[in-house]
Amino acid sequence: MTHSTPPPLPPPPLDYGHADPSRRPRRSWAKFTSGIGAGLVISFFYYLTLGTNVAQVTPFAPFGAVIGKLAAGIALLFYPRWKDFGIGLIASIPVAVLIFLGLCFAAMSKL
Amino acid sequence: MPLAPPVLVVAIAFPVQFHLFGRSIHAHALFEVLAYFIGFQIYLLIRRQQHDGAALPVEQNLWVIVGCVFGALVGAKVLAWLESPIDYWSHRHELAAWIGGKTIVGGLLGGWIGVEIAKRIMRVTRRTGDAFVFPLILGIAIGRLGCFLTGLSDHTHGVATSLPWAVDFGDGVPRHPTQLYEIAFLLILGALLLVRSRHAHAPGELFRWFLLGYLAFRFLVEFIKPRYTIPILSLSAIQIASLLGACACVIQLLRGSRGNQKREADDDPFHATAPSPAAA
Repeated sequence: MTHSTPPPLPPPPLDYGHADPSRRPRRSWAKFTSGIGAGLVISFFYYLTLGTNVAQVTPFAPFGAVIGKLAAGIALLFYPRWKDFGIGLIASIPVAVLIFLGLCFAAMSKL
Repeated sequence: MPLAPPVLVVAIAFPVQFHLFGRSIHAHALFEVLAYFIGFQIYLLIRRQQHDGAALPVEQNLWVIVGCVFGALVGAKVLAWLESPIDYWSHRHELAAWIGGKTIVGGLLGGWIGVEIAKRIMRVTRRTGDAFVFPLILGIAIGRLGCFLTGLSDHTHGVATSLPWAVDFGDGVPRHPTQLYEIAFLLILGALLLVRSRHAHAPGELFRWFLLGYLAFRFLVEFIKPRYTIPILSLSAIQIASLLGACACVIQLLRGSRGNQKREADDDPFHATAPSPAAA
């Protein structure tokens, strides 16, 4: 008498029609949060690098990070995989303005 | 009448600077970043706990946040300019003066308007404010700690007083620590709203109660702060904005309660809201 192992069960059919609802929202939030984080890091280094010379480079230099992030964020909206990251990048603009631009000018006005 | 020296002696050199990796970090900047970070983390936590029926689809929710932060920025700046127009006008040629300064009341009202604009563009009618209540309470309380540690240059301190808990912010004058009053008020308001959130409530009701409570507090506390008042009304721009915002909250709360009564009369059980996930 021989024992034969039963053949493995076939994998469940893939559902290409619907995204996995339990996974997508979390991934979107993670990308959005990463976008905000990246935007804040960009602003931090931008204003740290320019320092108190921020308004002396050109009158528009203080707004360089704002314009750059807005342009990048809008461009990313056209790429579905990067859309949530792009929205995060756009959301980071006002937050960074509230934190860094104010600080930057406060430091400059003390000179 | 000479002011009595403060009984509560706070051994702090204002403005407080923290030292991290050999660099000094301003207390205001540190606590502001902490406030945004912790507030957002709590928002995500609450959002995660919301049952599927109560939450907006993710992309709409993200755009609501974008509307909120842009509105908050505009509101915070515009009200700061209106709060001390003479100072801004006298420094109108200095870009630094225009960019510095912001107000929480303007940020809250601007954020609310920003959310409503974003929702109108996306044709969303569902109320979304309740998820923002506890992140805002904690965020403002943390931010106010930074304001307190900044001292006089933050312009959020109170007027001179002889009360025993007065704080000397470095100029030898004992003053009301209005930032600490605000933190204490927010903690009490948060506890009350947490209790309210455990009972059935209409969508958006918690946010309106929070805003009404906070704006009423700000309207009153401004009387013990140095402020520029608009001559005819004898009120500051923040007080006028607080009054207008509080009126909007009262109108919406009344409308909501009338709507609830009507629904109860119609015996429609589907409009009762489950307790907020923040209460979980």
